[in-house]
Amino acid sequence: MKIKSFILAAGMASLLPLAQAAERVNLLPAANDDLVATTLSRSFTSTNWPSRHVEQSELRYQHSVLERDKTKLGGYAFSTVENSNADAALISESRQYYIDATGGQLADGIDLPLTAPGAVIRLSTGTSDNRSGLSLRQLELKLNGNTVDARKIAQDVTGGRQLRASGWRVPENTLAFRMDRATGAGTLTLRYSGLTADAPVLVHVFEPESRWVARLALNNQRFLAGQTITASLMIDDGLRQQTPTAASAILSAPGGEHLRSMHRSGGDGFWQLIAPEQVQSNHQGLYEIHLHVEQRFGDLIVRRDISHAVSIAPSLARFSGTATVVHDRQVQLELPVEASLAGRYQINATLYATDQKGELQPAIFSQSAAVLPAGGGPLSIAFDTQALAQAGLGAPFELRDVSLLDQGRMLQLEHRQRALVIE
Amino acid sequence: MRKLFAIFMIALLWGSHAVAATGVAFVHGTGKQTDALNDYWTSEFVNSVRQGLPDSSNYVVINCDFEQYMWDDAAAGCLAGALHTFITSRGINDLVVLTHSNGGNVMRWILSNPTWDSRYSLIIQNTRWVNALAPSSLGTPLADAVMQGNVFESALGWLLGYQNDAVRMQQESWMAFYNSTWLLGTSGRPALPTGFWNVVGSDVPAAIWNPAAYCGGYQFQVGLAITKAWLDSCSDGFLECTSQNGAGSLWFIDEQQTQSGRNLSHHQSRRACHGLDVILRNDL
Repeated sequence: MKIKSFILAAGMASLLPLAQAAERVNLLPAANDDLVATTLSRSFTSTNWPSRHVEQSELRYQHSVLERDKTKLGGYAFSTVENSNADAALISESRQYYIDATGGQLADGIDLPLTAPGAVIRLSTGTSDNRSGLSLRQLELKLNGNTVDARKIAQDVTGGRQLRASGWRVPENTLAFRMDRATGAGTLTLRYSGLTADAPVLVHVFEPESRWVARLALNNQRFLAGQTITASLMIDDGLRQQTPTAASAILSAPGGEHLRSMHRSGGDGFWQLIAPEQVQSNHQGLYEIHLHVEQRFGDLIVRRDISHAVSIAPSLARFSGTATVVHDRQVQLELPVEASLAGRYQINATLYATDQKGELQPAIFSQSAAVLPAGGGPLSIAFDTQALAQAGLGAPFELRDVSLLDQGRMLQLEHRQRALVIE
Repeated sequence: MRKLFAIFMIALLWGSHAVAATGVAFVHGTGKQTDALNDYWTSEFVNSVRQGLPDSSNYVVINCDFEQYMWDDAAAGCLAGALHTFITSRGINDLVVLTHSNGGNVMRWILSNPTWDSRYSLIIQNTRWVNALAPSSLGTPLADAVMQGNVFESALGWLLGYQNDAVRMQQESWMAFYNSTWLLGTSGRPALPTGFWNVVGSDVPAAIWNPAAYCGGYQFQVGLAITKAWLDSCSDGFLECTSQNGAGSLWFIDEQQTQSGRNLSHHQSRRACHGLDVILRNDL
């Protein structure tokens, strides 16, 4: 492809008035994996959930995504390969767990089940009552009831300042070390003296060499309130795979607070929860599913914590389901949006064009955003298709990967993998 | 030759400009910076790189609050303001942006969401490309590890004080979501409007007898012996290679172009280590 990448429009100019040749069409039926609201939420007001957008102008933008030479001076490419990040969006694995303890409990000793040698242990405390920092000298260890010399089996002993200097944002009062691989596994009893009894301490155990992995899989990563979130949890060592019997699951809100427990569904390791509709005006991040499991295999205890982020959005706005299309020198689209709250709404879409083999190729990415009042209004996007002929591309076109986003509340409100065919 | 060709490309793309006014911006990673020149990059690094400019005064060192989410006004808004001012005040029409770590995500936010802020499009139009030094494009398991506690207990409120939104955002499943919705340039997504060229650190010289470990300060390398436990064998001690090359295109893996094929740890990829500053200088 020899066509140059281009920034065709980025500004406040309105689209050309839709001509008489404008055609009103219906969007393609939503697919099962699409994110489409059936009704709008009326639970919120602009007072209890204001939009944080600053920009007021209507802005439009587009650029070519035609494949180009991947050289430093040549440009960049649309990746048509299978999305290798898809797994990361739906699956998490864990070989680690956490214990929330106190200085008093650590002075008495806590038991840490280890499934493999070479575990990394991290102690972090939020208090500064031990100003010199947590020290190996205060640590006593027993493995399977036998006292072991912490100074001999603790390797790569590192403090919080060193870890933070490496970029890892642990509390400064941190002690981390790796267990000598020759030491073995079993129950590690860890005692630490010198902290005040009520000092909060996080004990973090990571077993990089363990075969025992907890795997969490979700049915989707983006939800509208009212939809069902399904999580499955399995634990395996590469040979045996088992549904945990002793596990619990919760959903936490973007601010970190616990929202509600997930309910176990049947005996197959599935947890379910209806995505809640809740105001999170102070936090714009994602929700998280957290699972904790402790599973016994004979004398072996496998303990794991695992989590995964999900997007949950109330149905504040949606596409009406129709579009007005003008196709002359460019493809112009007007998409009516129904909105229960005023806000600044954004469309992302990619126009696919037909090549000389009759196959669809991604050609132009387009984006627009505008402030809409409660009740909604139209959003317009355009694709300059003139230049595509140089690359041997033309009609029919298809509008794909279409998203409706709320800029002021950081929500994904709709997504359609295929939205429209344009002859 | 590379420079001549770059100028030719600029002339081709912006035909009305007879001469390219080249500038370089240094965009730091996670953290709230007020003196990134000294606290994040070092003068040695910045002054070495900018010698590659036709006018070596055409540079800007960004100081923003990258402890916030990338879209926050204190993050992308601050970066956009600084770049916009740099471009307009100095007439820059050929901007090379050097980002480190999470700075790549903030820059990618601007490149991916030009309708968010009317300043973004001017920045995109005048950016030749981004040289992303060890960008955390797919997040890092270390962010997951430090953000989580036993959330089933109730006393972990104290831990929240050590966490910030930028680290929260760089958890792997979080970045997977943002890469699939708001951000461009990852596998299966539309390309970014400008080149986003990754420099990938692939190993950590941390052994006390290894001279390479001392470049940039040995104290910054010590913790990597622990953090490496969470990462693939190909990593810079903080980010896996797959994350560093998860968006945009590969420019080079450290040992392909550094002096004596040395590796760049996550800390060393923002220092004048193993010839990195010269490579970046020659790219201007």
